[in-house]
Amino acid sequence: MARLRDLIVAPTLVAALQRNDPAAQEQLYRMTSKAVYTLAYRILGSVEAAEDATQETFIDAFRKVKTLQKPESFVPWLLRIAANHCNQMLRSPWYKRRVETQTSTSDQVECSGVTEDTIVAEKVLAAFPPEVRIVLWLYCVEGYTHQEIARLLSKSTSYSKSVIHRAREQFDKLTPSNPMDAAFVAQNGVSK
Amino acid sequence: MEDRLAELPQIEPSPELWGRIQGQLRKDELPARRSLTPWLIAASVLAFGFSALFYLNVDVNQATESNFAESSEVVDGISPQLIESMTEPLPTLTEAALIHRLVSLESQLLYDTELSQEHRATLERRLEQTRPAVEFVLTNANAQSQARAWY
Repeated sequence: MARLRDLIVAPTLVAALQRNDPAAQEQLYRMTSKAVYTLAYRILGSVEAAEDATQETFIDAFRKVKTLQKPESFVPWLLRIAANHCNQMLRSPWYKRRVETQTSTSDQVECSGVTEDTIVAEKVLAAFPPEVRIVLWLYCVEGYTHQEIARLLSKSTSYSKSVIHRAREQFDKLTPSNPMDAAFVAQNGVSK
Repeated sequence: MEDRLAELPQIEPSPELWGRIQGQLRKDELPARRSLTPWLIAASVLAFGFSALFYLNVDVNQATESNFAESSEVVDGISPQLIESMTEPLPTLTEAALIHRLVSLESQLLYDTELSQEHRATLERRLEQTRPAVEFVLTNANAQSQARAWY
């Protein structure tokens, strides 16, 4: 799976975006929307919330790309916008309300070519609270450092480290050889 | 854990999402239309304010002129209306008008130093005619109350 951080956006495309070129905007969307949407969905666990966060991410990126000084830092910049929107979404009252009233821990999204291991990992991730998922995803998948996560969430680095430590323990318990545990966690949630 | 999370597949957003983004971007391309409403409101408020100020200004000026005219009638008695009323025959005047004439005549004779000898003599003659009439009406209680009200 391609991480958002691994994507490469050519400086010429960034220059075209800075000229407010509609074709360049569509090209960037086609290139990066899957990665941005995946990040939002894995953190927020809801199709609607993930689509809203993705939409706001691209709107923000298109509006503010003129202020970007270094074209080569476009992808980390886009990732930061997306992570910020996910974090804001997590704090919004309507999202919290939605999570409280949600019957299942996550909307089910169909993915082709997935193995049983992947399904278990997906369920375990979805069973974590969203405040844990954002730390997990940014640290484990997007390669954020504890300092970057702490800055994004306005928390200390020790908070990020302890979240990762506890999540790792819980995650490792739910091995692929024991999918029933994963299903149990998926149904009943995982404490922070 | 990192490896297993990284293996999770990417998810495709719904095809409508790009349309939503485009729609929002098109809204941004109409800044003039978006900013027109506040400008219209500001222009309306200013127009209303200037109209109100203009109206009040005229009204105040008119009121000032009117007050000045009324006071000038009483103090120096030089307004054409007062001169006209002074020429009216006494029996046609009401009690209040008689008192008004008396005070006006006395005021004009007292304060108007530019009166010609002829005009002054005329006014003194009218005053001599008015004073007994005023004294007569002041003996009537009704007329007295009217006089107090007038003062």
